[in-house]
Amino acid sequence: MMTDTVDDVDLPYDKDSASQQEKITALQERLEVLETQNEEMRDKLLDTNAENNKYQQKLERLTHENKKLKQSPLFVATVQEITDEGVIIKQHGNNQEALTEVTDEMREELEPDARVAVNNSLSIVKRLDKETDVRARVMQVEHSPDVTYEDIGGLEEQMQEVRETVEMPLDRPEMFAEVGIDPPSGVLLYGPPGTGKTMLAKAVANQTNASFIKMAGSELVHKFIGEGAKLVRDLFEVARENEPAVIFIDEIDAIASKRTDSKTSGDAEVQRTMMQLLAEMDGFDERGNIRIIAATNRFDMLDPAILRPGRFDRLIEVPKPNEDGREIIFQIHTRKMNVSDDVDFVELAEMADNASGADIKAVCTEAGMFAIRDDRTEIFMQDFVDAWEKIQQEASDETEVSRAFA
Amino acid sequence: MNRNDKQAYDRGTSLFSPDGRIYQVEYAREAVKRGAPVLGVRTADGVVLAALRSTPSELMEAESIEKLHKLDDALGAATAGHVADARKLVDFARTTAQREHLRYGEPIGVETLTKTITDNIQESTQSGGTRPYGASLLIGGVENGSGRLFATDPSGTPQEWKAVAIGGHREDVQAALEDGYAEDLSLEDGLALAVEALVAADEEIESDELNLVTVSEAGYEIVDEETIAELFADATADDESDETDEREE
Repeated sequence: MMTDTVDDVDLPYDKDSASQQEKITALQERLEVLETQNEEMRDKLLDTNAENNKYQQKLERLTHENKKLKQSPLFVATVQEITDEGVIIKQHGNNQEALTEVTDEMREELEPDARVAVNNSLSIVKRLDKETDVRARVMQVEHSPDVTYEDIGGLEEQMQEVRETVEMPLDRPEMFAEVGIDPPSGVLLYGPPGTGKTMLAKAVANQTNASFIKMAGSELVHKFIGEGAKLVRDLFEVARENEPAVIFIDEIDAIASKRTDSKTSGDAEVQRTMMQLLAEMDGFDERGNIRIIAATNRFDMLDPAILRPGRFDRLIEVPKPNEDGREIIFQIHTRKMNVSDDVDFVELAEMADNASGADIKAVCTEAGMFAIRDDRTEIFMQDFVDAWEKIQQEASDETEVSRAFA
Repeated sequence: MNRNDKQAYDRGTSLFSPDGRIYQVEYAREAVKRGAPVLGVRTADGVVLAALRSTPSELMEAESIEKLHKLDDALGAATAGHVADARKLVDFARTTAQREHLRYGEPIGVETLTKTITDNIQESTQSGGTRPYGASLLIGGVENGSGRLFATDPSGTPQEWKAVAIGGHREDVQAALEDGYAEDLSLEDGLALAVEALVAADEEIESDELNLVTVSEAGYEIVDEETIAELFADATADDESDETDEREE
């Protein structure tokens, strides 16, 4: 019921002439219209209210963010000691130690050596995860290389040894437990350049289910003292997190060369990096289910400490291939090539005396180039012979030297 | 001096490395290995010296590669390594042998001569500014009716051998000698063994690349080409029959 009456209402009928009946009908019609209008208005109000809420929330968020941005950043510190009187923390950077109170809840979370974030007044805000270097993380191989054991020719014995050391302990650990020996921790592949050391490692990475971490020895050499060693530590940390794991260190001579008395040059730091590696491989800490493969072509330069049993217990020589090996390597590299029927791999293997696997690959590529130069897509025996001669020329120029000897 | 051990201690021969090595002398041994192999075999009747001389080109006169040298009537030397260094030593050996012959009216002993030569070699490993001889010698001769065979080394060490090889592929030749040597070899057996050993180390050699001499009571005798060709034919035939034997097995 209306509580207020209005005098000058614009009535929907003629005051004087309309009959009572007409008045009622007109008023009812008017009422209906008003009711719909009212309904619409109410909907609109609801919508606007919702919108208002949304903006309110946004405002709140922005105010919060604004406040956060104005806040000074937290500092990183390490917990030194947890005592009854509080927690002793040591700030990174200035190494200042401080005693701070923590809530009981927080206290449970903390342990000595944990990393924490502290605010301006040095009270602990939260505990941080263990840090591992991103550089160590990126070394983990996610896409396995497309090299398989079938792609490696003439290294059956070496392959066997690598698989025994790397795959067996991962696949059938119970065998080792029953026999009662600890599986060998690492293999070192050494031999002249281009003989397939890295290929072997790639094949292992392809075949194994374990996580594979690869790196070059030179990546461990850094500008500042301690950085290289830290990277080694992080590397093993990443490996331990992703057990079982295989770590492959290529060109290990970059860090594991013989220790000398040198105090002046950067050698000392490189040597510290190596010592960290030694400690990780066979130190006080449990190494876990981690296998290590390393490769080098300067075996003579390696420090004896890294070669002792317990570190690299298996030293596998990867020599230049013999004639049979060369034949297989020729076949492997020409697998995808359009080779004519007159190509005799036995003869090629005999011809390419003293060639390494990489040399043979070069010969195959060069033979292909000869065919392309001739506007052919098929490669003939002669192309291979020419290619070998070309590569040989590049390799040998020794006759003048040998003149002085007899 | 702290770069690296080797670089610091290989500058001269008058310096030992902390582990007691003289690097220059070791490098000189590498020079010996750059030469073609020569070998000596002591037999009941004398000594056989054999050399491999391969020419880098067909146009080269093979005769001009001298690896076997007559030192006295019943005294010969075989050299491997740096040619010019070897010639100096051979010249020294000849002079010494002749001087001794003139002075005492009898030929110099094989051992005496070897030790005089090695004493000379040693001098260049101990005096400043010198470099060691990049050549080794085998010295074979007859003394009191029996053959004696000595080898020298760039360090100046004399050693007496029953059969020995120096120069390139030394290990292979020496292994073949160890397989085939017997105490009671005749001079002919010695020649056969010498050829076999050289063939065993390098299957691709030709008979005209071989050089053989015998040093016995009869003196220093060069083995003629025909005999060498026969010995070579026997050695390669043996080799092939060995291979067929293996296949049959």
